[in-house]
Amino acid sequence: MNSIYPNRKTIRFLLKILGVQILILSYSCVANPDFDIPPLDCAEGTGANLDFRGLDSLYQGETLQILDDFVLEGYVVSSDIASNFFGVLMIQDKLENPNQGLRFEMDQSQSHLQFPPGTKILIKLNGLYLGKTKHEYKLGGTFSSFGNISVGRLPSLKVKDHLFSSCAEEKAVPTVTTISQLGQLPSNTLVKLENMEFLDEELGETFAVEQEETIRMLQDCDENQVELVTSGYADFQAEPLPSGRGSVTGVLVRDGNDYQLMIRSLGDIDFSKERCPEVIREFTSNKIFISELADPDNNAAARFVELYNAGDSSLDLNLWSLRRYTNDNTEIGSEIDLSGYTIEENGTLVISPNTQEFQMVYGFLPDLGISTNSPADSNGDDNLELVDPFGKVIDAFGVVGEDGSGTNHEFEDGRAVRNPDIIEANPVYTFTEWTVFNDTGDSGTTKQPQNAPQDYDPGTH
Amino acid sequence: MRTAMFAVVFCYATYLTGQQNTIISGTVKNGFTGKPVLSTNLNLNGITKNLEIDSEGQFSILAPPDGNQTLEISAPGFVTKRFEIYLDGNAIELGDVLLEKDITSEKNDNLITLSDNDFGDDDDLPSASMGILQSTRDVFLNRAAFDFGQAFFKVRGYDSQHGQVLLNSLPMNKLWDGRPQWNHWGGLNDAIRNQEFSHALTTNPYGFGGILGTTNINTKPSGFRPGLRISSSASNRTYRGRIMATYSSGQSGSGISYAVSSSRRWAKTGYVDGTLYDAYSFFGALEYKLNPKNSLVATAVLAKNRRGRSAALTQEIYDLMGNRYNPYCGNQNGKTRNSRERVIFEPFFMLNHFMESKKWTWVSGIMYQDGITAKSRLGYSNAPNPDPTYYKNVPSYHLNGAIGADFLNMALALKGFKNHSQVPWEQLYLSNTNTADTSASYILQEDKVQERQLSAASSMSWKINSKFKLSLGANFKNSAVNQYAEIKDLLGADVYWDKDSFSNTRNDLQGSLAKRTGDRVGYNFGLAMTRFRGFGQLEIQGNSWDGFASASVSSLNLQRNGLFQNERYVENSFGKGEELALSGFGLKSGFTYYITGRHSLSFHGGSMQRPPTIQNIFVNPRENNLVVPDLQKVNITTADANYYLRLPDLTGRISIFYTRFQHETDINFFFSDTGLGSDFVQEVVTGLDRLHKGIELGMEYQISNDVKLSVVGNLGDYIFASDPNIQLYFDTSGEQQDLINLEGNVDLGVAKVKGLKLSQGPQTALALGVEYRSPKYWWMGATANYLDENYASISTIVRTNSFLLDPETGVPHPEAIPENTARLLNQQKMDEGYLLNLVGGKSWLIKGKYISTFLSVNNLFDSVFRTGGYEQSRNANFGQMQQDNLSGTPSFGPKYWFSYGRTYFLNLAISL
Repeated sequence: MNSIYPNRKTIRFLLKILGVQILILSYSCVANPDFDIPPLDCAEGTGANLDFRGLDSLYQGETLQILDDFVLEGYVVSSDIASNFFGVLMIQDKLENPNQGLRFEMDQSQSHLQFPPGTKILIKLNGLYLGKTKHEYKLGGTFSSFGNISVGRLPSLKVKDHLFSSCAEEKAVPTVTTISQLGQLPSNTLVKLENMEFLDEELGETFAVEQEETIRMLQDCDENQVELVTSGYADFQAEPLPSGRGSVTGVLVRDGNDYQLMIRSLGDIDFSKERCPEVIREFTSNKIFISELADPDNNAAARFVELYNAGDSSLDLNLWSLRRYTNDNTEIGSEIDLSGYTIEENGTLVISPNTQEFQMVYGFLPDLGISTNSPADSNGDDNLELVDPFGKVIDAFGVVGEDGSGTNHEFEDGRAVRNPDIIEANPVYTFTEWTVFNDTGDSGTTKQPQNAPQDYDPGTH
Repeated sequence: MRTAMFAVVFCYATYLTGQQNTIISGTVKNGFTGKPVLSTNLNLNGITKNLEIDSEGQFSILAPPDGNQTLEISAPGFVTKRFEIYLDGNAIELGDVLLEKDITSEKNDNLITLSDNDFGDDDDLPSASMGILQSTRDVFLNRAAFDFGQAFFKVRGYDSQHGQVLLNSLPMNKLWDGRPQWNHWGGLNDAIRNQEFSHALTTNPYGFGGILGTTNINTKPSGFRPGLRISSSASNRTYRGRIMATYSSGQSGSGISYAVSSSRRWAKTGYVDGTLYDAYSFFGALEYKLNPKNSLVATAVLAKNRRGRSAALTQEIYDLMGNRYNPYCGNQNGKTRNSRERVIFEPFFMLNHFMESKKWTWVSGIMYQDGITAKSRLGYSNAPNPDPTYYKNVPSYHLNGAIGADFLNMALALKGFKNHSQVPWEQLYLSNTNTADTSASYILQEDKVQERQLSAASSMSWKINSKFKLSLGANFKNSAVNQYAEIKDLLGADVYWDKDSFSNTRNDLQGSLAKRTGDRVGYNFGLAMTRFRGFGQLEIQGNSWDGFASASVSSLNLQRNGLFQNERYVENSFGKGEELALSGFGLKSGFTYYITGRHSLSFHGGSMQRPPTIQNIFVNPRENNLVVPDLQKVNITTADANYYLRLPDLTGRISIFYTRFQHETDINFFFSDTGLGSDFVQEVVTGLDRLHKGIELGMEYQISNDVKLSVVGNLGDYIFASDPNIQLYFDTSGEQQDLINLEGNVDLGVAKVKGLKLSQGPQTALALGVEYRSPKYWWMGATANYLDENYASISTIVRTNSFLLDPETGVPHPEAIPENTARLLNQQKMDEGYLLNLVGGKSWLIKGKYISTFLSVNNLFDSVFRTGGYEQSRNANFGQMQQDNLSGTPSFGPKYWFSYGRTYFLNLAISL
C-alpha cells in the first residue's frame, strides 16, 4: 500500500517552495498598495533671470512666442476659488508694493488648488506667447482668429511646463491705497481700499446678473467712486451686495481708462462697519445776504452784486440761488445757481455779468462771472431774492411785484449797500437796513448817481 | 512503443451468436512509467463513458455490434488514442494501451495568461469566455481559446454569462451579471485541471447549463495526479512571474486523499504600463472515501488577485502614445501608482458528497463564499478632472472648439500632453492641501461589492437501462450583497465632504457630511437575492442514434435595500424597495444520428425564458430603488446542426448555429449632451433583440505520426434584430435651466439599430495550424490567424430621433438630413487582425522525475490592431457631433482596446 503521506524529502521541498513564495510575497517588486504622502513639488526660489520690466525688451510690438530661456518670478494675486476669475492668473512682480503685474491666461479650471493667491511662482517663458494691450502684458498660449494671433489660454497640461509653485511661506500682500491714488498703481496687482461701501441706490442688487459681467459702484466716505466688476458665473453672483462699510481687497484691472476692482471671493470684502455718515452738502444760513448792488451811472457794464457772509464760518453755497424779478414781474426773470461756490467767513462773493469789464474797472476778477440780463445785471428797478438750498428766501432786495422806479428800492445809476451794522439776512426788504443811491432820490433814497470804480467797493463789506 | 499505438490486436475471438454485444477489453498504462492510468475515458461512436477500471488499469466494456467504429481512449494529461475497430460480436482485446503524456497540456497554463487579459473588467463591456474552454479537445474551441481569444473572439458571439461554470456541481456564476469569475481560483491551474466541458446545448449531468456550454471543475483529490508538481513561469503579458506548487497524495487504502496547491503571480507591470499584478492563491482538498461508491470531499480555495487596470483609448491618444499607454497610472515618490486597481478576494469553502455506482451517480454539495471585489478610482469635486486623457487636456480640444481650430495652441497642447500624460499624483496631494477647509478635492475611492453567498446543489443521474438515463437536479443560491464606495485614501486631506458636486446635494442625508478614510461615500445599498433552479433530463440511446430532452425551471427573488438616503432621491433611496419575484424556464433537446462510426450528425434546439441579469433590473441601484418599468424576460431561442467526421487521419466538425435573444434589457450610465439637454443619465434600453448566426469549422488532419494540420474557421453574423426603446433617467436636483425636464425621465422612443453589428469580438476568424510532435518528446506548433468583422459597441441614444434635435432651439437641426446623419452614425468596422502564434515544448524523464518546458510566443510579427471598443454617448445631438467630427479627430470619438504586441510565456514544470 502506498503511503499517502509525503516523505520527509518531499515535505522539506514543499516547505522550501512555500518559503520562496512567502519571500516573494513580502519582498516582491509589486507596488505596495499603500503610498506615503509625497513631498510638495516645489520649484527652488532662485532661477529667475528676468524681471517684469524685462518684458519690455522682449515685446516687439506684436504677439510673439518667446524662444529664450527666461524665467520670471512673481506672486499670484488672483484666484478662481469662487469662479470670479476664470482661466487666468494675475501675477505681480513683488511681494509688496509691486511695480508691475501681468495676466497669465491658461485653460486650467480650479487653478487655486495649485496656485493659491499669494503663491510665489516661477514662470518659464520659453515657448509661451507674449502679448501686450494698452495697459498690460499677457502671457499664455494662443488665440487665433481670422489669421490674427493674440495671447489665449495655454493648454491645461502645458501649464505644468511653465508654472512652478515655489511653496514659499511668504505671501503677496495688497497695496493699501485710496481711490484717488489708484491711477498711480500698476494694474493686475493686488490692492486694498479701506472705508468703502456700495452706493445707496445699488443696495439690494446682487453682485452680478446671471451669466453677465456686471459693474457695481463702490465709494468711499467722501463719495469717491470706483467700479467693482464681477463675472456672471461667479459663485457669489446671486449674493446681495453687503450694506456696511469696510475694506475691499481685489485685483486692480483696467477697462480702457476706467479702474476696476475684481475680488477673488466674498472674503475679500469686509463690510462690518456702519456705512459712512451721510454727507450733508446743503446748508442754510441767515448770515448770508446781499451786501451791495451796483448800477454805475458811468458804466452799465460794471454792474455787480455782492453777497456777504456775516457768519464766523465759511459756507458752501451748494444749491443756493439768486433770483431776479424784473420790474414788477412776479415770475422769476433770471436765476444764478451758486452751487460750487463757497463764501468765506466775513467774506464776499462778487458776481458780475461782464467779467472783462469788471476786471478793467475794478482791477480784479469777480468771484463769479455770468451773462448779461442775469440777476447781477439789474438796471436798478428789479427785485432780488437770495434763496437757500431748501427753497427758502433768506434775503431780499426790493418787493417782488413792485417796479423799483421811484420807490425806496431803486438803485438805478446808483448803488444799494447794506448798512454795516446789519449782520443778519432779512427775507423782507427793510429800507432802514440799506443805504440807497440813485438818480431820483424818491422815498428816502439819496439822489446821487454813482460812478465806477470810485464810488463802489466790491469785495469788501 | 509507438507502433503499438495504432496496432489493434485481436488476441482471440469468441463466436457469439446474432446480435451479441462485443466485449472490448484492455489495460491502460502510462507510456512513460508503465503504471496504470486510472481516470480514463472511452469514446465509442462519439459517446463518452467513464471507464470502470481496476487498480491494474484493466477495463472491459460491452458494445453493440455495429460494424466499423472509432474507439477513443483518453485520460486527462495524456494524448488521446484512437482505434479503428470492427464490431461483429467477436471480443476485442486491445492488450496494453500505452497512453503518452500530452506534453501540450502545459499550454493550459498559457491560456490563463491570455484570458486574464479580459477587458470584461469593466462591467458594461462584453466579457471574454475563454476560461471555460480550456478543457476542450475540440479543435475549433481550442483555437478559439488559445489563438482567437487574444483578439477577444467569442464563441458564437456569446457573452461569458452564457457559459455555466460549476465547481463540484455547484454553480459559480455570479447572480449580478451572470458571469463566472475565474479569479476565484486563479493561479491554481493544477488544482482545477480536472474539468468536464459540455459544448453548447449538449447535456451535462449537473444542470441545464448555458447555451455556450457548461464546465464542471472537479476538485476530488483522488482524481489528481499523485505527487508533487512545481512550476515556474515567466511572461510579459499580465504577469511577469509565477511560481506554483501542488502536492497530491493520490489514493490510498485508508480512503483518505488530499491535495494542496499554492501559487504566487506578480508583475510590477504587465504589457500595458502600470498594470501591476499581485496575486496569491491557496487550495486545499480532502477526500474521504466512505466506501467504493461514496466519498466526501471538503475543498477550500483562497485566492486574492490585485491588478492594475488599463483604459480604452481614443484613436487620437493611441496614435500619440501607443498600445502600452495607461492613463490610469502615474508616479508617486518614484513609484508607479495605478488609480484603478481591482482586488478580488472571495474565498470559499465547500463540502461535497459523491456517489457513483453502476446505475447511479449523485453529486451534492454546499458552499459558503464570502468576500469583496474592490475597484479603485479617483473621485474629485470642484477640481479639474485628473484624467490626462480628459477631452480638455488633449490636442484635439484645440481643433474642435466652437470658435474654430487653433493650431498653435494645439501644438502646445500636444507637447503638454506628451510631457504630462500620467496621473499627476503629486499635484493631487498639493491640491488637497490648498483647499480652504483642508477638505479633499481628490480622493482615491473604492467601489466595493461585498457578497456573502450560500449555495447548495444536488444532482443525480440514473441509468435506467442501456437505453435510458434520467438526470434530476436542483440548486439553491442565496446571496447578500452590499455595494458601496469607500474612501481608500484622502490623499493628504483631512476630510471629504460627501456631496454631489454638480447638484451640490448630499449623498448620505442621515449620515455625516464629513467622511474620512474607511468611511462609505456616494452610495451604499444592499441586495438580497435568492435563486432556485431545478432541472430534469432524459437521455435515450438508440442503436445508431441518441437523443435527449432537458427542462429547467427557476425562480429569483430579490430586493434592494438602500442604506443611504440620497438627497437627490429623498423618497425612494432609503430602505427596502419592491420585492421582486421572477421566474424562468428552459427547454432543450438534441438528437444525434450516427451514419457510421465515422460520420455523425447532431442537432440541438432550445428555448429559454429568464429574467434579465440583476445589473439590468434596477435603473440606478446606487441611488434609488427604481426597477425598470414593465420588466421583460429575456427569450432565447437557439438551434444548431453539426456534422462530425472521425476518420483515422481526419477529424473535425462543421456546425451551423442560430440564436435569437429577445426582449433584452440593458442599462448604461454616462454624461450626455442630448438633443433635449445635458445631464448625467441612466439609459434604459428595453426590447432589444439580438441575432447570432454562423458557421463553425474545425478540422484536424494527421499527415503523419508526427505532423498534424488544422483548419479552423468561424463565419459569424451577430446583429441587432430589433429597434429597442430608449428611456433616460436622471436626477432633477441640478440647476433648472440645464435639466432635460423636471419629471426625471424621458422616453426617447426607438433607437434605429436593427441590422447593425454587435460588438462581440471578431465575427470572422480563420486559422491555419501545423503541429509537429517529435518522438523525442518535444513538439512545436504554429498558427496563422486572421480575424475580421469586429465592431465597436454602438451608442443607442444617438440612434434615436432626439439626436436630430438642436438643444438650443428644440427643433431638428437644419443640417440633420439623412445623408449627414448616416455619415456620422455609420458603423465602422475595426481593423483586420493577423496573428502568428508559436508554441513549443519539450519534456524529459530523469530518474523518474518528469520535467517539461513550454514556450509560447504570441503575435510574432508584433502587429497592433483594435480588439474592441465602444462609441461614446457624449455627443448625443447632431450639431455637436458634426462639429466634433469636422477635424477628423473628434474629442468624443470611439474608445478602443488595442491588441498586445509580441508576447511570450515560458513555463518550466517538474513533477516528482
